[in-house]
This record gives sequence, C-alpha cells and structure tokens, in this order.
Amino acid sequence: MRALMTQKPGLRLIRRVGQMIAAFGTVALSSLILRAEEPSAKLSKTPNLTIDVQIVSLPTRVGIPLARSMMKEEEMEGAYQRLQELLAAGTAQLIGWPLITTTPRENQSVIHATNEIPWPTEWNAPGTPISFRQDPDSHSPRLAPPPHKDNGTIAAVPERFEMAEAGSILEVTPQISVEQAAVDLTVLVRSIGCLGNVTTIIDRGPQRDAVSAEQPLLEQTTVNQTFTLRVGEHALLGIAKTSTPPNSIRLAVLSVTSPEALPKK
Amino acid sequence: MNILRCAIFGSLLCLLTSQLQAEEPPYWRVRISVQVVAIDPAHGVPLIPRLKSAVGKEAAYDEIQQLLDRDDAELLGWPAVTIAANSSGETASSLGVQYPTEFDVLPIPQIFGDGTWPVPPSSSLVPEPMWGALTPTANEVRDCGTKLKTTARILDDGNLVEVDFDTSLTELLAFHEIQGCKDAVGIGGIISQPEFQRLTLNPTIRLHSGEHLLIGSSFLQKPAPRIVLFLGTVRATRIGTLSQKAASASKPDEASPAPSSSLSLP
Repeated sequence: MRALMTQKPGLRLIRRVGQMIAAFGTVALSSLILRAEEPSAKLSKTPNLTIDVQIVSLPTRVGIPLARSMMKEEEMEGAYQRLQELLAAGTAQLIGWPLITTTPRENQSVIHATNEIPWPTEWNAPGTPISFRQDPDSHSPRLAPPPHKDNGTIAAVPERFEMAEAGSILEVTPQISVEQAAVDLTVLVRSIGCLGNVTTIIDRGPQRDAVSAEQPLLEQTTVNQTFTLRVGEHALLGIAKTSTPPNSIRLAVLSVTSPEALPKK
Repeated sequence: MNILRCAIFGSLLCLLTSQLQAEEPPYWRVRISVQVVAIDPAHGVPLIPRLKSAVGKEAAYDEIQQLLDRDDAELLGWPAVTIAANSSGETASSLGVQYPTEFDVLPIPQIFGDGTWPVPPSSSLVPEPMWGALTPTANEVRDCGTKLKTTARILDDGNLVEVDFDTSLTELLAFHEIQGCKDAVGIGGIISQPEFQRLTLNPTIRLHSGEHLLIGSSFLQKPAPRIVLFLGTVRATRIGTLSQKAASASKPDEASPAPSSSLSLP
C-alpha cells in the first residue's frame, strides 16, 4: 500500500492536503482552548443586573390587604402586578423609584436622588433688653428697645446652616450565580420626606419671652437587609405607617431583572 | 507520524501567534456618553420595564429619542468622553450658583443720649436696626449641571467594555427665604438659602459596543413629578497596537496614521 502511494503523485497530493487540514484544525482547536482559559472571557459571562425599589404610598384600605398578599411568596407576583395597576389608576402614589444597573461585584453601587434642604443649626438668640425708667436727665447708657414680637415670640437669627437630605437612596451589593440565576443582595434603602417646617421654641428670655426658630420636619424610613432572590422576582422590603397623607401606608418593593437574556434555570 | 508532526507544528504556530499577540496588545479608543433625560411619569413609568428587558430596551431607547425630537421629553445633559482603554476621563458642564453661608448679625446697640424712643430726627445718634439687617460675610459656590467621570476596560477582545460610571445631575430648585428676627419697628432680616436637587450614581457595567443601556433612573417630585433617566452608550474602536501608537507618538512631525477599516470593530 505504501509503495502504491509513493508511486502515485495524486495520492501524495491528497495526503499533503490532509496533513494541512490536520495542522489548521490543531491551530484552531488550540486557539479555542487558549481563549477559553482567558479570565476576561469568563468575566464577560456575568450579566448586568438592574435593581430598583418602588416606594409607593397607598390608602390603608387598599394597602393593608396588598401588603398581606406580598408577604406570601405564592401571591407576591400577582400582588406586584396589582400594585402596578393601582399606580396606573392613580390610587397608589409614587414617592420614589431609585433604579441602578450594575455588574455583580463586591463593591456597592449607589444611587442618590435627594433634595438638599437648608436648615439652621446655630442661632444668635436675641436677648431681651432690660427696661429702664425713662429719665431725660440721665446720661447713663440705655439699651435699645426690644425686638419685634410675632404672636408673642421673637424669631432667632440663624447664623449657620446645614443641608438636610430628603429623597431616596439605594445602595446595593449584588452577587450572582449564573447557573441558578439567583442573586445574593445586600440592600440599603432610605426614603426621607420633608413634611414642611415647624416653628419650635428654642429659648426663653429673662422676662419669659419665647425665642422661636423654624426647623424642618423629616420623616424617614430605612431598610437594610441581605437576602437571595431569583432574577425576575420581586420582594417586599418594608412597610411604614406614615402621617402624610392621612390613613396611608408606604410600601417598598424591590425588583431584580437583567437587561440581558439569562440561561433558563 | 506525519499527522503527529503536523499537530506539533500547529501547536507551535498557535503558541507563537499568542506570544505575538501578547507582545502586541491592541490599542482601543472608547467613547462613553450618558444621556440624561427627564420624562413625565405618564410616559416614563411604562418605559422603565421595557428599558429593563433584554428584548425591549433598544426599541424603548428609540422611543425616548422620538420623545426628545417632539419636545415631549427634556434633555437635562449629555456628558460624553473619549478615552483610551484602561484609562479615565471626566467631563462636567455646570453653572456656579453662589449662596451665603456665614452672616454678620448686628449686636444689640446701646443708645447714648436721652433715651427717648423713637429718636428724634434732630438727634445725631440714630439707633441702628437691631436684628433686621443681616450681612453675608462668606459665600460658597455650587456647580449645577451634569458630570461624568469614567474608566473603561476592554474585555473579551473588544466584544465587551467594562465601564465604571460616576455620574451626577445637580439642579437648583429654589432659593428659600428664612426670616430672621425683626427689629423694633418690624423690619425683618432675610437669609436666602438654596435648595439643590442631586442625582448621583456610580455603577460598574459591562456593555457591548453600540449598546444602549439604562444605567440608572429615579422618580423626582420637584419641580414637577418626573422620571429622570441616565442612558449609557459605549463605542469601542480598535485603532491598532500599542507599539504603533508609541511609534506614532515618537514622530510628532508625521501625521498619525488613520485607523484602518480592517482593524475596526464589526
């Protein structure tokens, strides 16, 4: 057979072509193996995750049954859809909706959506002048007349301000298992609302004159949790009874989705 | 035997190629932009689930562009940077808003004279206002606008770009007037303090070149209820190799070579 092949140039050509195909095949295979071992290729398989928290205010008559449903795992998805319908109908009011897309990693991803409201932290409270008997012949020093009073109080003079943050803050640290499409989440949600300014008596003068200052009234809800969720699922993070609007409760509902197609679990 | 020889030759060729690739790392140019758009909740709430989905995000992005064209959405900022891979860049477009932070409050004045009140106009000693006048003695400046600070890394031979976003939007909502104490004749001092609205986010995201992605959003109550979207886009272009870049940099007189179309990303 070998002798036959050496004698026929056509067969020799076929053998050379076969050798070349084998060589190219080896090159291609080796390249694939080397590429598969590159760490960046492995990294790129990790999908991005979008994490958002809807903070909504609902009338208690609607909100309490909805919160009960959201606490039951089997009713959660239906209750979430019901919440979206209530939002569309205007029964539920959107208070905040922070959303962030991130690659699962060890570091936190943070979105701050806040108003910075100035509020005084230090005052120069006016002193109440001592009354002297009017004596035209006297040349002794006199204090000036007292400052103006509104409703029996003297407003303090703000000297230093700080900024109070009102709004919503979301801090997340997601870790994902691609095979199971499950996400380990550490979530911190903070919702702060400014209900307005209140006048507070901060001091009283020697003659029982009240000294007042305006201070912001801040209402805050904070949630800090670590749990596991599948991509596409929703979770009720917190329930808060709030004073505004009256007879309402506030729900914080978290969603985890991926803007990329994930392998089926 | 010949097949074995070919396999060894092939492996050597492969190793040689990979060695050459290692010696000649590619040089990438990455353009990163973030479109900051405000949309009223009626349009924005239904758009967010589509922007979050794998199949609907590009169509939703196109819809936002149409809303912008029709003035149904407001462009709040569009910071963009062009950087080399594995490097950082930043851009800011802002308006400096000044506001007072420290004030000189007048002390209680003492009146020397006959002590009559009100002081007759003929008197040379006129009492100054007690609490009404507040004089700012120090100001600060706050930058209002959009900022983007970013770092880009090329992954998977340029199929993916990993981007560290650090972006923000700051707006001046209003100046609040805070009343100080009134003087004896009822003149009140007023301190003006600003209220700013700030939206910041700092995610790390892997994007395909040319992909549009919702990197963050939030519902804001002021000045009117609206949803603010941060839409990120990355474009990576392979320019050549680092050695080519170094060679072109060492010859400042010569024009830098134009990027070859055969090297650009598909």
